[in-house]
Amino acid sequence: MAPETLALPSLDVLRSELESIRAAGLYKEERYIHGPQGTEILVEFPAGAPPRKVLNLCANNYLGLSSHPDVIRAAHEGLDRSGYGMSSVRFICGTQDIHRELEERLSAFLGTEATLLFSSCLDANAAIFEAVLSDKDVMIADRLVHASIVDGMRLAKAMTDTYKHGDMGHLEEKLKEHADKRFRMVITDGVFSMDGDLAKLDEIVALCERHGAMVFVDDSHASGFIGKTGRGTPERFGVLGKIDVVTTTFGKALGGASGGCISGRKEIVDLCRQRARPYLFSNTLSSVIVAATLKVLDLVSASTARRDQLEWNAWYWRKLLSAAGFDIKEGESPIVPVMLYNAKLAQDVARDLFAEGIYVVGFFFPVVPKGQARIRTQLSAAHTKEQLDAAIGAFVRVGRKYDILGRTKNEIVEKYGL
Amino acid sequence: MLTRRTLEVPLPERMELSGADRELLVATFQALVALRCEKDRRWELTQKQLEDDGWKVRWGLTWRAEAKRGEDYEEATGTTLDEALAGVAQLVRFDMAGRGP
Repeated sequence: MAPETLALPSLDVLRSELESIRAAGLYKEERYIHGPQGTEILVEFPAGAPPRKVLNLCANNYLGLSSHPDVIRAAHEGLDRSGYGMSSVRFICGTQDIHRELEERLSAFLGTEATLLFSSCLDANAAIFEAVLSDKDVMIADRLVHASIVDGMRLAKAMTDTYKHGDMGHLEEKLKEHADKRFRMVITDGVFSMDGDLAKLDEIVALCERHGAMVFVDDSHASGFIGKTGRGTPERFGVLGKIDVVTTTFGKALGGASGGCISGRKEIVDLCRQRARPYLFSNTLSSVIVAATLKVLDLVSASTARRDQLEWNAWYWRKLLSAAGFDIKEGESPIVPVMLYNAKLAQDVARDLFAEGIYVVGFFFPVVPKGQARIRTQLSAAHTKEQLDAAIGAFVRVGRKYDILGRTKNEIVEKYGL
Repeated sequence: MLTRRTLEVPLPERMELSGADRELLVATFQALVALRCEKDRRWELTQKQLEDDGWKVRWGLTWRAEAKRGEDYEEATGTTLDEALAGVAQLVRFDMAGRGP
């Protein structure tokens, strides 16, 4: 019998789209890391090249816990004690005692009433708005919130509105404009990932209290190290316990694997447990991550040494870059953007730094607004002073090559364009 | 053979139709004609099926706004033109801001 002829759909359109992405210089290529995450890593780039040791200045490994021996040991013990998988969603037969324990520990750590685990903070952000808000409500978001929040807002039936980044006057206008809504939820990142600046949570909470609105904070780039004991931006701004919803990740400072949570008012969390689709229709965190995250909470609760070291490293790195004449975004977080404005310049500088043994990534449109290209450096508590001193040497050499040291934004733009 | 039939509406003296006025008039009459003449009036059957399944169905005309730039596309609906355009503007503002992991 002759084989049946299959009419497969042509993928020319998709090939063409991929070519467009390449032509625009936006094609993302993975760099293969041989071995565990750390401040010094072995990177194979381009694919097939012999791995070379570089200093990592682009990980979210803020507390240096990604490969901490105590965390790895806890993960092994969790695996031995609780098994590998549950083969079920939470509400059927997928909830273990350690899931309850982690949720209780997170509530205590974040200063909230209740917590619900998710496979990622992206899932938590995708879940919360649709589960809690209706078409009688409005979501008022800072215009620079994380992409996962934007996606979550798109899934909800509540009205979407925004306020200018960090502009409290504009936020108050919006709160007044939507006074007729059942719920007004003000939505912000705690630390904004590309600029490293902090939301003015004390002012946001005061405004929301005055207008009877709810506050939502994604503290993914803050949990574990911002605030005197690492409780995040609510602690930094003296509003612990006053945030209605906090979402955060375990994929950055808190061990760096994956996982996240919604934490906040009991009624909100309970409603998410009933309605949140990523909770209802997918499995939760494996015992390995739960056990490791419990250990991370032990470590960050027992001592502030790591977050103190991170704070010092960020201060020192900013000082080194400023003294060398780089144009950086001021701030207090361990995210330190080095502004280059021109996309090609950002790519060239990142490539030359890699050749110097420094692993950083150039960010440009559409990841950041047009004309705001930069290299985002990120500090870790595990970086040593010697490593940072060596890194600044490489930055200075590359900076001299491109004649950007001591140059203003206008001078860089004049030389390289936007 | 189809005979093209038109409806003339006398306008008050000195009244100039704007683009929005014209769009509104065209949309209104298109909606009327569609409701009366739509093939098989299938929407009535769909509505009945939904109601038989226990849904309380409400329908109505709405404004729809869309914005396209290169490959970026956003659309929003609203009970007023202002609401629809404001919805698109909010979505566009998110996309313009730039996003990083």
